[in-house]
Amino acid sequence: MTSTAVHSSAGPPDEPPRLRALPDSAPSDSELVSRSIEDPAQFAALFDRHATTVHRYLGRRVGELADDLLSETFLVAFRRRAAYRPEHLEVRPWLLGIATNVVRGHQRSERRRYRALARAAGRPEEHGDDPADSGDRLAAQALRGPLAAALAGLKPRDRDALLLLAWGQLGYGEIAAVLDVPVGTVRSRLNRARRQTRAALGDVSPFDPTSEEDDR
Amino acid sequence: MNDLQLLRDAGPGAAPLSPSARSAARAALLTEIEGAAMRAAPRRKVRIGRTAALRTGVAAATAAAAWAGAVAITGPEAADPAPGGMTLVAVDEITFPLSLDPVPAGMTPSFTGSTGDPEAVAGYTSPDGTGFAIYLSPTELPPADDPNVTDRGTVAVAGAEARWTSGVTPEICTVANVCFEDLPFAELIWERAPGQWIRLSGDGSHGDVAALVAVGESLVDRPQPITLQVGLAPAGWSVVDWHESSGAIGVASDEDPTRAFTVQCMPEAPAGANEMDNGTVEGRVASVTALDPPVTTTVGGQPARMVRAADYMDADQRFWLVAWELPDGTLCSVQTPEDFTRDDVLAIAEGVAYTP
Repeated sequence: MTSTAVHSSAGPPDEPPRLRALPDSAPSDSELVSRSIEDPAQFAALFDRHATTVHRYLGRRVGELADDLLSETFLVAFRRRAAYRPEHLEVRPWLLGIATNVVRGHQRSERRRYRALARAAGRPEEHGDDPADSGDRLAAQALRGPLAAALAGLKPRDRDALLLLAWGQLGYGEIAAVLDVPVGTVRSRLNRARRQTRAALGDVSPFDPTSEEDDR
Repeated sequence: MNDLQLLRDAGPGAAPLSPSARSAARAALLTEIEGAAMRAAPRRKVRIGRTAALRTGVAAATAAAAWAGAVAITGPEAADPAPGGMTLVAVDEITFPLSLDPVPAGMTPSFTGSTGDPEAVAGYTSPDGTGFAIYLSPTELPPADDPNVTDRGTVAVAGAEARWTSGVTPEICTVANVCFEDLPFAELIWERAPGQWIRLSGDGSHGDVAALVAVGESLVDRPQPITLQVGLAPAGWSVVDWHESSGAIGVASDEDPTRAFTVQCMPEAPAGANEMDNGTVEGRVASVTALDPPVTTTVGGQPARMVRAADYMDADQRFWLVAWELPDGTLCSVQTPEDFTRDDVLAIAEGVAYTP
């Protein structure tokens, strides 16, 4: 993907982001990016606002490596700030798109992590004495391994789309923008990823059949 | 529950962002912000002012295996300090302990290490971001645990037995932002000398065992200087670490490591590369919160701007910043604590050498 790809395609969000903040309110994310072109220090506020979100997304994908990739994501974002187009994408999905690209350079680590989690989930877990949540815990534990194994088995591009939807909570249009593909391609990738995930979970799946349209 | 909710509830979790990790990432961003951008880039030989070193009567750096020990500040030949200033002394050259003979053509070297740490890395990168990395360790390195490894075995490297692995990585993008559908990779691990383990990893044209063996057999015991060097520092201060990917070297007080200064040289980006720009002298100076109007000066015969400034998040953190541009467009800067004199800061800047 080129440096402009994260915001160069697909339709804009339904409601274009607000570009001007009220006089006495904090500047919007888009304004901070814009101001940082001339005044780079403005960009630091975006880190303060979004570091936790980006780190959580990275942490779920690559584990401890997230600490390093958090830094890399914001460095890349800062360097590409001149190419950011607020009319195409808001800042949070833009950052998550960059984080996704950063993870792409560490696919081996990501798959290794999922496989390790799948193996670890197969081992008995120590439990506390409180029986109140034991049912939920056991249910979650039963799913954790197969779910990690399912993620390891997805094609990287399908996994990107699925996890931007599930963990990044991006809409289809936003995913299309950050992955630089048409929305139809996003739908195809999500269909495939979700079908494979359900199939991999097999008998342990607790799914109610749910339309993907409900999840946008 | 649908599959998306299941992924959120029972999918792999994430450790919370620790204060130290947050602080480190923020500091890296602030360094980048203060550097007003970065780029790896065109490599023309440039060496700048040694006049300060000559003024202090100190010979240029000594060859030292910086990776294995302290990069000491040499003291005995120090000059008298300027009034109100401190004694500046020569800094030993920062080196990587091995060289390649022959030097690989068309590849850009970069080095990462820290004083006192026996582990160090030298990377050689082609314009498309593929290449190879030499990782040194005093202890035996574990074999690769990579799901994409398809083959493994042993091979002789300069008479020593090396373990090798190889495979193909699907869909990967390099640091140069060039993406590959299937990129071959390979790795060699061997003990080159007692207590000197080497992990040699390559991809692209170096993702091949024979290519890596050739690289491994070209390694010679000849320290090579890294491309950015600090010529002068206050007596009692030492180089802490160097990260050439970000073009920075950190130097800190031995007595109080929280007192530090940073030298940075960022090459100009090739046109169109990632739409980056290494910035300008004016932009670099404008990126900090000035306490006084910036002044014009020279460093290495080049126009420079110098300013006394404060951290925009913590006004009590005050510092000097001097920035100048080399003839090839590389933007260099030195940032020191406020209690350095203006002449000290300029002398340190004069001592910076950049030899890409």
